[in-house]
Amino acid sequence: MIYSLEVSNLSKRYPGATFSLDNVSFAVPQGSIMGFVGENGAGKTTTINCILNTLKPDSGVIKIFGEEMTEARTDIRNHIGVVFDAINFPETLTANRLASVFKDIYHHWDSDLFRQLIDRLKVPADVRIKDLSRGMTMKLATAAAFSHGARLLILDEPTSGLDPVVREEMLDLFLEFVENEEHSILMSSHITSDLEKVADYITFIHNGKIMLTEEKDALLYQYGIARCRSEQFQALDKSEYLAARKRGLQIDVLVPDKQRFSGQHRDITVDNATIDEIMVLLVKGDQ
Amino acid sequence: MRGLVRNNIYSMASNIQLSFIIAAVMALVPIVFREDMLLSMILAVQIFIFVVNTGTSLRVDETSKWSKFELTLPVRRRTIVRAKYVTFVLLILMGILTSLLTLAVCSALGMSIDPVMVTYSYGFGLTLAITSTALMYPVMLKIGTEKNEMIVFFSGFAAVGIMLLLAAILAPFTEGMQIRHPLVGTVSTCTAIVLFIISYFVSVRIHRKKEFR
Repeated sequence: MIYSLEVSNLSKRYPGATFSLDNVSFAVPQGSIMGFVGENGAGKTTTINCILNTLKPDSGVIKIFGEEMTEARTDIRNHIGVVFDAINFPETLTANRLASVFKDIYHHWDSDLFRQLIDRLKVPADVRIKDLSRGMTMKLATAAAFSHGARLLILDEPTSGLDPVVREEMLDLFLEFVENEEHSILMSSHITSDLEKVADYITFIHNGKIMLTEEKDALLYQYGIARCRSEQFQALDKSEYLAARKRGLQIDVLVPDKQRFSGQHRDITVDNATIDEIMVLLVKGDQ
Repeated sequence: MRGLVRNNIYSMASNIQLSFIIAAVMALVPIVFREDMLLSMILAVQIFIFVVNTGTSLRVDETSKWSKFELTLPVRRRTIVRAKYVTFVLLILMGILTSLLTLAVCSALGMSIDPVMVTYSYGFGLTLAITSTALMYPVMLKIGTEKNEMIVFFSGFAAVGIMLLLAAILAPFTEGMQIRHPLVGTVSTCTAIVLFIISYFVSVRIHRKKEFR
């Protein structure tokens, strides 16, 4: 398998803080969308900042398109599109001025494509960024990320704070982007319903550690949540489940293969799992 | 680098416009008041007025997270810093150009211009503008832009301090301590240029180590 992004044993500790990234490893296969999920403060943004070299990792290797990413690799950065969960650009600029700035920075800036995208997304070309709504700003950032021949998009909470209509527009764009099989996306998000719509793989991070990386379809159709009574749970072997969480008299148990589990425990009900439920079990449950 | 310089100028566009208006109005002052002392101040302020806004601009870059975003662009950190310094040079050149407008107005009015006064004014204005930026940018890069007004103020004072110090050092060659002596102006400007070059390398070093969360 060819990977667009490979993160190996990435560690980062902030001086004076208890939080740290602890040997984070995962990879984004070419032609896919990887959802990066975790609660607030889990380490999503720190990981993305280390990948993009805005933070300096203490250890670990980051490879993009098979080559190690360092500050000097401007050739690699020419093919990376980035959208942060922030304004991103100087507030006094307009979309038109931003385009003229990027035209002089990116080797493959496509002015026509940028114009088409902002027209399609209805982003005004001559309004200053500080006067745009959050939705418009995020659309502008996405249009810019798409307009310079990027093969990998790194998106940090690109849909948070957006209304469902704008979110849907953005998700459609992401899906169009990966129609080209050389393109890939790493997308962190709290909104797991968005990831259920577009992601091919999901990586869960908690307390700076990767808890699980799995194909989304496997999570939705293969994984399950067994609803156990206390005595049923006591009878389970630890190797049969990934996490468990007590909820009143019931214990929810995350199982990696619901069919096999059902076959072995016919008296226990096993429901389909959502990404949200899996995340809660991995974060709040006992492993 | 051209795109980064373009961005720096665009993001300061409204401040530059305001500085142009103030500098242009100042250029007309000799029509009413024809005093050498006042003319000297006008020339120095015109040279300095464009760089004084860079603190605010750096603060805006930080609050909009552009400082972080530009690290994701296909440019190296040293190029980002170089683009800032090229922008500072352009701002100082804008100041020099508007000061020439004042001299043109004086000339059109038939005023006699004292060359010693002009040399002092340019020496003082350039020392103030170049030293301020040389001190301001690395300090803001190191400690952040939250106290940008204070840093600009401090940098301006430090520039005047350097000029006074040089005037004292050069006193044996200028028949006593004379801040208006052309030698003091020339040496001050050269010192400011050396400081500016050192400041660039210091800023590159600070930027290389800086993390943007």
